[in-house]
Amino acid sequence: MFKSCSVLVKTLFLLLSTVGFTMNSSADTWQKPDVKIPTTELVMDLKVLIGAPVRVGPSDAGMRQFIPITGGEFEGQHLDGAKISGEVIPGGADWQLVRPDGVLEVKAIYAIKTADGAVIEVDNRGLVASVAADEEKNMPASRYVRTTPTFKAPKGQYEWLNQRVFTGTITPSPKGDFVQIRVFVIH
Amino acid sequence: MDTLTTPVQPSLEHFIRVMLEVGAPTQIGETANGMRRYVPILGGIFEGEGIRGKVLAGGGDWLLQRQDGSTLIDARYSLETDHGQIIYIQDRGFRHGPEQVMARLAAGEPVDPSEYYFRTSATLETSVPELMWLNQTLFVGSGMRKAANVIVDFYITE
Repeated sequence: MFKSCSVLVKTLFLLLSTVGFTMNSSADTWQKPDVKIPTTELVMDLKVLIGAPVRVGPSDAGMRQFIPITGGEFEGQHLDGAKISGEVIPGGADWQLVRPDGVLEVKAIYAIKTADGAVIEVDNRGLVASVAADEEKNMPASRYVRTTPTFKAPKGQYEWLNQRVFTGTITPSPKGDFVQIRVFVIH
Repeated sequence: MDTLTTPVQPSLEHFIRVMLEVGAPTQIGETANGMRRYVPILGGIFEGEGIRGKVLAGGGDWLLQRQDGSTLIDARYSLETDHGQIIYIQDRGFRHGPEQVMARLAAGEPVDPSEYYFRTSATLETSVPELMWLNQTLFVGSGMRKAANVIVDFYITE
């Protein structure tokens, strides 16, 4: 959905760039990424129940509001594939900011409790940006929705959550009573 | 659990490779948060499809060695494209691996980057109109620690 925009920008840059440059660098591995491209794997799927938005109002940074988090459930897996599940503890919130450039910044802070009793803090920050339609490519207007979830898990089997980078998606329910959050680990 | 839709797997598209020339670390020491050290970013270069330039001197990485054996990365620096456009990067993430591997890395020995985990999430800021999309995109970084520099590949999360 976002590709058309970035490809366009890159094309502009290619047109502007001068030809035939080389990087003069002592770096031994500069030229080609000799590392494998990181992969993403779904590790957590949360259904987060939400309440009515509470308007904070305009601020220097933009319009602020927060969405109460009232409960929910989740399932997922450890890195070795072992299943995990549990509930969303009521009482968190998603602190939102509509920036002057139109981007919605989200910052959801709440806790989950696993079926085996571990309480884990979730800090999920990200962006919701509008992507303009591209008529040439027959691409309708869409939204770019990505987050960078981080976790604070207690010592023990969930500790790996403290030590990885994740990327997340947000899908609102049609009625607006919950959001589906998918968390993908970056391998 | 009932789900709305089938999960859409985010894909990663390569954006730029950054080579950071780093200076000698300064030990800040054992703080309330853990063992903190500062690594200055002295310069460097970057290149991607249709975009390239240099890393401006004056950035840094405020690394935190945690008791769980992982190192938190908290790097901030600026890029300048060949067209004079400035991009500010905030890059946070984790570096960890088997003890022996991390010891070899610390000693400046060549280590295959697949032997350790070095991943980040980055936000970019710019005022350049043609690059506004950078403000509205989340990036994932994949890093390599070399003896005298650090190489990070940044990917667009799509």
